[in-house]
Formats: sequence, structure tokens, C-alpha cells
Amino acid sequence: MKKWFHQWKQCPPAFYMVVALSLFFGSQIDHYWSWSNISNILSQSAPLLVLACGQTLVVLLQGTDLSLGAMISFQCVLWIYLLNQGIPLLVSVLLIVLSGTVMGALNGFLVTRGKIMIFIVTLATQNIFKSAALLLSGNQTLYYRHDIFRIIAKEGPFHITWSVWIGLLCFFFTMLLLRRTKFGMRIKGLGGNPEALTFSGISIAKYTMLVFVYAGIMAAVAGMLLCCRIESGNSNAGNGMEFTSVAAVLLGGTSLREGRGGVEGTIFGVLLIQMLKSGLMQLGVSSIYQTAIIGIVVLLAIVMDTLVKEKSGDGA
Amino acid sequence: MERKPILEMKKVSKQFPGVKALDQVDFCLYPGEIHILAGENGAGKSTLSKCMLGICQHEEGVILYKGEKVSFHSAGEAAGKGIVAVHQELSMIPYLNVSQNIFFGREPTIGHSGLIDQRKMTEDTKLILQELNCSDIDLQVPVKKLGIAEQQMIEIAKALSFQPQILILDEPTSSLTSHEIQSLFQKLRQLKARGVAILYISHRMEEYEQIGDRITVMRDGKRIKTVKTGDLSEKDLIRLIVGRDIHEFYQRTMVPDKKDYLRVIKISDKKHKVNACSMNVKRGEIVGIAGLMGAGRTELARLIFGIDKPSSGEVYFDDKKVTGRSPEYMVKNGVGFLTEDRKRTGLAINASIAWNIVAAGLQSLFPTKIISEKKNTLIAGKYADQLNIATPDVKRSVGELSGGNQQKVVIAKWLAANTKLLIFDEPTRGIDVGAKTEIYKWMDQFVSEGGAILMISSDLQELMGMCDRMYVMRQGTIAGSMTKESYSAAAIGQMMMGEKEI
Amino acid sequence: MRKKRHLYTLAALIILVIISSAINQDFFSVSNFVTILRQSGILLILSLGLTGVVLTGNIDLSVGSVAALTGCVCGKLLVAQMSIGTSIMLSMGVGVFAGLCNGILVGVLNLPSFVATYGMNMVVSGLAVIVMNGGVIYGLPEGFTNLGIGSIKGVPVLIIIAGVLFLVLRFLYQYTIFGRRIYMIGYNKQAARYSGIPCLKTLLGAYIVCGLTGSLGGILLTARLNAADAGMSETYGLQIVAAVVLGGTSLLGGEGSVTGTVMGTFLLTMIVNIMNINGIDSNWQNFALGIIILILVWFDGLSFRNSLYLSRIRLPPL
Repeated sequence: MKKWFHQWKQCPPAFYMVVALSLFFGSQIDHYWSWSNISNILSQSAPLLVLACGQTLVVLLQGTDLSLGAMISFQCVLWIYLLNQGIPLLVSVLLIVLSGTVMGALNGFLVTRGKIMIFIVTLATQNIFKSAALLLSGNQTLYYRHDIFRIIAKEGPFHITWSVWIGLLCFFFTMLLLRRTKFGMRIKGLGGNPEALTFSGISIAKYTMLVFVYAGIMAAVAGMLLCCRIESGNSNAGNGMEFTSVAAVLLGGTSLREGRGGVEGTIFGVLLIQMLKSGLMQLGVSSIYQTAIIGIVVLLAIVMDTLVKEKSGDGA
Repeated sequence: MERKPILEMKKVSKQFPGVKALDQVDFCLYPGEIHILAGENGAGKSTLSKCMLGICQHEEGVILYKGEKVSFHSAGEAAGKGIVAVHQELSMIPYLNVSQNIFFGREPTIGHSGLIDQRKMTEDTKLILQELNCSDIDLQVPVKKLGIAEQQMIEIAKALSFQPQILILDEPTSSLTSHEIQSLFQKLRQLKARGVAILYISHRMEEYEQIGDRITVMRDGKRIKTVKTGDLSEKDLIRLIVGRDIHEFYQRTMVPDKKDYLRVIKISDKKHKVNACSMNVKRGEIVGIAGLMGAGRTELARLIFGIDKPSSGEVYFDDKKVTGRSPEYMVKNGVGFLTEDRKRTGLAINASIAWNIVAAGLQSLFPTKIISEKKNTLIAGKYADQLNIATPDVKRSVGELSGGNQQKVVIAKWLAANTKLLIFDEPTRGIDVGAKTEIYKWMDQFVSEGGAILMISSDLQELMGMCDRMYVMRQGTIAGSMTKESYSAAAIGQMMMGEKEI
Repeated sequence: MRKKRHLYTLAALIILVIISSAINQDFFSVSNFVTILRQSGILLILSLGLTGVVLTGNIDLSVGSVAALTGCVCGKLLVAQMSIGTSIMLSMGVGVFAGLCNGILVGVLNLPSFVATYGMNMVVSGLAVIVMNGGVIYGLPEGFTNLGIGSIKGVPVLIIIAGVLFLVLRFLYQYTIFGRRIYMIGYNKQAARYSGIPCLKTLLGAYIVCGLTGSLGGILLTARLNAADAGMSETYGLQIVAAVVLGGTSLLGGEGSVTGTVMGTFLLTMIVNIMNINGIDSNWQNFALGIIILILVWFDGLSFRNSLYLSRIRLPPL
């Protein structure tokens, strides 16, 4: 019982906020607790969840990948573009994953070889990916109709869509990776005490590279999930997701310092942000207020998180 | 000796930019001996061990290990061959637990699944810790939550888990209590009996005789002499290390003032690391604070200096009560804090010597709030001369200086800020003997000119040599105090450990 | 000690001038250089203020959106028949407030600056959208637009303002206690704190200066465009940071100067100018700009080969 209580106390703050927010929206919005609404929120969360899994690794490395939002947009556009070119579905999926790998590798290469700060590299590649998406789409929204979009975004066993299952699969895979494999240990070492890796003769550059590649692949998967939802490709599709994913990771209790945390809490951070988005929409808040409100709430949440950590004495 | 050396270095040289770190060093290590490496900072001790380990590569000469020429590329490779080191800087990863740290980089896996076999890792860890008499460490919490001493023991446990044939220890006792040191020494003797060769790097001379078989003294990258322990007196040894005579180590001259300069009354902090501590310091006095690591000494100093906010208690300066303390306020009122961690809290390591020297006294040195580089250089030059800082130009970066000279720059910073009371946390940690004596001399001069020093140290000899009075802290409280006449290492030790009240 | 890293930027600048003069005859002309100067004015003002923040070892990613919000507020006030002076003064308040918020998030709450200011960027650009309600403002009074497009004796007003700002900030950072404190915090924040340097005050000061120059840039941008819209400074986002970094100011803090930033800004503007002259589409320009910045920063990194690179790519220690 005591142990159980102890673990309860260790829940990330995002968990409590999710509970509080759901109670609030539940009291304000009709049918909030209906299965279709819940399933809808989960389904909307899936791309961000997958993206945040990749982002978690970058945050553990004491960085933030700011190019992930633009990467998602690009992959969204690219997928529709490829399908419009008559490329078979499976091949196109492979190509998208490949593009994610290449883009992640580009980030990793610049960071490890150029020795450039992570946020500068990713800020610059954000620009590059974004213009690439614009160039590919010709400043337009691309459309394509395919059954697979509907199946993944709207259908699935137990009334939970396939996109959620895919999201959970990525989540549990990342969790296993971080907790139970050598790779995971090394990532935590990289964030906590890189000298320890050098002493053991483990290449820091190699694992830094792998982190960015992993984030790129996750972005590719997230991009496809998003594409399934919106059934179109648009160079703004992933706008802002680089920040919401960082926020979700931080809210989930992963620290930008010392390699503390893991992907476990990230899922609550993702839920929190998505619930807020959809809840505001359902409350009828005009869309022009949304960016500012979500920005403020996310910032407040991060601030609260820092304050709680400092109070408990193990913060930065 | 007829035994064959397990490791032999022949004419090994290593060049760093600007310095010859190792200069034609010949060195032998035999199985079953504890070999002490002594020398000032920058004498090449650490470089020597790093060359053995493959952390850096030597340029000339050969290293023979078990009669074969070797050249490792990383410490991991050397560890695989049985050469393992415990380093000065801890190599722990803060948010991994004990067993994950000990087996970092060579975790056992379940078959070929790639998954880590956590059960086996925990079992093995328990065994290793039992051997070291510290099986009470909680294996499941991240090592960050453990104390420094416990982390140090885990570091040693990690080294032992490699089943080393050569064990290199670089200042392993700097954060251990005397009790833990004894249990470490016992373990080292066991290993020695098993035929393990141990290379022991330390500044603490009292340890040499306790544990060492032979001592090699290094100076300026050269091997000066190798002797059996006990063949040389401490004085001769110091002369070998420093390369010149030092007649008086601790010098004290002044008799203190009557009035309290600093008075602290029942001060406590919010994290319960310091509880109701009271003390006073007079002008012309060096007051020491003794205690074990974690007894709350540094925390007390931080409270007084205003880095942390107290939960209760009062501080008086010259009989005036001070409220709302902040470092800014304290510096303005003539208090300085020379911290234990120079690189982190003492110096801007990439900035120039000149900039560092004026850092604390900006407002009083430049009352017009406008800074001219020329005046800055002039001021810095004055203090650099006064304190004998070895540099051709104060515009050079502080990082290029040796540890002792860096410490002098910090002292110069507080002098330039017109400091009256200096809180001196571990004044001579990681500093060579030569610089030590200079700093002691300076401390004496400082108080004789009307200053006051509150000195925190883990080195009992240093405290007993330098301080007029001493407070002993234990678990956040002042366990007792004594004056110079009644010092005895045993009594202080008992107070620190709380074994018996005096 | 401060290395003369901006000299590399100067060298790059000169090489670029020579190469592009050889490629395109239109480039090397007085009128084109005036154009470059004029184009660089806004970017220069924005990046000069950011330099102080970067010198403390932090970053402000919200400068672009602060400029946009200020411009929008200023435009709204002018349209509401408020006098030019009052409008400018009032809208400068946006910058002070944003700078204060950033400073508090970073200095008091200890958030990593690139997370905090990226969030602020989102909030502030959201506010700009709210202020404009999705619309655009045209037709501002001539006295106001002259700030952006007018000139005194052939010298653009914009450049005069930027020049004065440069001199003021250079004095502030190089020759005052405030400036020295900024550098010391950048070198080692903890050591500065233990030396009795008022870190919070200094940091707030640096962020407020940055917010103010952001506002100033936004007002002048509105004047230059003779219009205000919520997205008007989007393209500046990366360029501002790039100008500072290209000027040799280290993102780890402590090293660099506003002089370098001026050169970085000219370098960047010249690259854009060359692309404009050669008729490159704006999407391709952005694409190329990202790559060019990476290449230049890459070369900047070459001088750091010896240092442990992880300490360069990650967060600076608290």
C-alpha cells in the first residue's frame, strides 16, 4: 500500500492535470464522456504521441528537435505527392520512412560532425524542410483519396482506431527501448554523464546520431498518421507540433537536464495538450484565440512543473 | 625483486599543447604491490594513468603489459584486459540505478534478444557490494539520490567488478569518511594479497604510510624518484615533490580582536540540512568548521552568504542585524565566499584573468559605472603581482593556469572587492604543496591586517594548523567547539562522528 | 578572452562581395549597396538587441513575433487616429512587457531559454493574430511611413536609427558595468552569482533591451511596408538568430560583440540580395538560406575542433 502510494506520488504533473481537465470539460460539455468523443480525442492524439516518443529521446540528450513539425508537414505532402504519382502504397510508406531516416540523419550529422548546437541545427533544418514542403506542394494543398486513410483514422477493433493502436505500439516500443536495452541505457548516459560513455569506449557521436534518426523515423510515422486524419497534404499540417511535442515531453516529467525521465509520462503530456485543443474547440472558442491560449497554457504547465520539481528538491 | 613487473613503461613521453606532460618516464608496477604516485598538480600523475588506460595516447616510448607491447584506444578496452581505474571525476550516470551503473556498457542480455537481464545484473551487484561491506545501499533508486560517499563506493565497486589485475585509484578518498576510508584500505589490502597491482594517486601524505609499499614522485612530467615508503621523512618527501625546501607549513601570528565581527544566531534552512547553528567570528581570527561530508558545513556557509534563504535565525555584522541577505548585498558589505568548486562557482574559466579579478568588485572599482579595459588590466596586474600569480599577461584566460594559480585568482578577486570577512570552503583542495604554503601565508597576512576568515575544510591537520578556534558540525548542528589549546585529532573525530559527547 | 571571431565574418563578407561582383554586374554598384543597407536595417535592429541576450548564454526566439505584435498594435493605434509619437511609445510597451516575461521565465523560473522563448513566440504570434482579427491594415500616415522609407541627405532614416542603436549598445555592452555583468553571466552564471553580480536584474535588463529593439524593429517594419499584418515578420525568425551567430557571438555566452552582429547581418542580407538579383523564387530562397546558414555555422564550428563537442551542442550548465 505504501509502495503503491509512493508510486502514485511519482506520477508526472501532467497526469493530475489530465484528470482535472477532463472533469472540467466533462462538466461543461454535453456528451464529453461519450465513447465517440473519447475515441475521437485519442485518435487525434496519435500523431503527437508518436512524434513525442521521438522527441523524448532528443530531450534526454538535453536538446529539442525543432525541425520535427516541419518534417511532419513535409512527409504529409510527400506521401500525397507520391500516391498521386501512382506509386504503390507499400512502396510509398517505405519511401516516407526512408525520408524520415534521411532527415533525422541530416540533423544528426550536422550536430555530431558540425558540432553545432542542437537547437540551431534544427531551427535551420526546420526552415529547409518547410521550404521543401512548400516547393513540393507548390504552395497548395494536395489531395488524394484512398481507403487506407479512412481505415486507419476512423476504424479499428474495440472502437479504437488503428491510428491509436499504431501510436500505442510506437509508445510501448520506445518504452521497452529506453528501459530494457543497452541502447536505452546509453541514451540516459548521454544525457546524464557523457564522459562515462567515453571512458567505456562507447561512441557519443554514434548514439547522438541514432537519437536523431529515431526521432526522424517517428516523425515519418506521425506524419503518415496525421495525413490519414486530414486526408490531404499541406505544408502547414505540422505547424507548431515541434513545440507541443517538447511541451508534452517536459510535462511528462522528462527533464532537459541530466537524462532524467522517460517516455512513460510523455503519454499524459500528449493527452493533456490534445484534450485542451479539442475541449476549447467544443466550447466554441474562436480559432483565432487558440494559438495564444494553448501557448499560454503549455508555458504555464511547464512553469508549474519546474516549480513543483524545485520544491521537491530534485529539480534543476 | 625477482618478480616480473606486470606493467612496465619505458621512456614514455606525451606532449600537450604548450607542455610536456610526460617526459621520458620509466615506470614499473609489480603484482601485489600498492604503488603510490605523488606529485604536485600538473606533475603528470593523471596523464601517466591515462596513458596506461588508453584515454590518451603516448607519443614516444613503449608500455609493456604482461611483457607485451600494448596501446589501448579507450578505457573500455583496457578494462577488458584487466586495467581498471577509479577516477577523480565520478563517472556515474545520475538517473540510472546502482546495478545499471556498475554494468554500464556491458549489460548482460537474455539470450540474443537484446533485452537486458535485470535479474542477473541485480544479483551480481549484490555480491560485489557485499564484498565491499556496503550492502545496505538501495539498489533501486537512481544514484543521484545517493550520497557522494556512497557514489564513490559504487565507483570502486564498478572497478572491482571488472576483476582487475591493475587497479588505478585517482584521489579515491577525497569524499569518504575516515570509517569508509578504513574499509576501503582493508579491501585494497585484500586485493593486494590476491596479487593485484594497485596504483594509488593521492595528495594526502598521511595515507602514504598507511597503505603504500612504494612511492614514485613525479615533477614536471618527469619521474624524480621511486622509494619504499618509510625510507623518506615527510619533510624530505615534500622537498622532492615541490623541488625546494619548505620549512614552516602552517604559519599563524596574530591575536584576535575582542569584538564579534560576524555573529550567527540559531540559523536554520528550509531543507533541514542546517539546524539552529550559532557561531561568531572576530577580526583577526581564523575560525574553522570541521565535519564530515554532508554535515551541513557548505550549506551553513551558503546560508550566511545569502545564496540560500534561511527559515529562521539571525545574522549580525559589527553588531548590526542584517536582513534580506543576498550574495549581492553581502559582497557590497565586505563578505566574500571562496567556494570549494572553483570551476563551477569560483571562476569564469574562459574569461581572462583580468576580468575574473575585477568580477566581484565591479561597483567599487569602477564607481562611474563605466569600465575602461586599461584600468581593468592595471588593477588586475597589481593583484597578480601581489599574490604572485604565475602568468606573463593578465589578459590570458584563467583556464590556462594551474589549480594553485587559479585559486590565487579567486583570492585576488575577493581582495579587489575589498573583502573583510572571507568564507573559505576547502581552500586547498586539489592544490599542490607549493601553492598551499603560499595560500596559508596569505591567509595569515589577511587576518593580521584586520580581516577575518571562516574556514571549512576536510583536512583536519590543515584546520588544526591554521585555525584559532574551531566549530565541529554533525548532521546539520554544531556538535561542539574548541580553541587552539585543546585541539586533538581524536576529540574532533569523535565529535564529528558523534560517537561520544565531550 | 574574447577572440576576434568577427574577423572571420568580415573575411567571408569580403569574399562574398568579390565573388558576386564577378558573377553579376548589377551587384557592385552604389545603388545596390544602398539597397543592401536599407534591407539590412530592420534585421540589424532586431539582431543587435538579441546579441545581449545571447552573450548571457541564453536565447530569445520570440523577437520576430514581438516585432509583428508591436507593428500590429502600432498600426491599430495609428488607424484609431492616435498621434504618431504616442502610438510608438505605447506600442514599445509590448516589447518591454514581452522582454520582462521572457526574463522572468528564464531568470526567475529557470526554464531553458530556448524552450521558454519558443513558447513565448507562439503566445505572442497568437496575440498578434487576435489583435488583427485575421485582417490587414493599410494606409498609414506619411509622417510615420517616412521612418521606414524616408532619408535624410540621401542616408535612409532606417540606417541612421540602426547606426545610433549600434553605438548605444556597443557602449552599453563594452564599456559599462551592466555590459561586463552580461559577459560574466555568459561565461559562468554561478561564478557570477557567487561574485555578487545581480544576475536576475542583469538578465531582465538584457531581455528588456532585446524586447525593446524587437519593438523598434516591428514599428520600423510596419513603417517600411506601410502595412501591418500578423505574419509580417515570419521570415525574420531564423535570420535574427543566424545574424548573431554568424557575427561570431557564441551561443554558450560570454564571447562575441555587437560589432560582429553588424557584420553577420550584412553577410546575411547580402546573401538574400544576391538571390534577389538573380531572380530566385522565395521558397527556394528560404531553402537555400537554411543550407547557407548551416554551412557558415559549420565553418564557425571548425575553430572549436579541440573542445568537447557535447558541451557545445547541449544546454549550458545552470
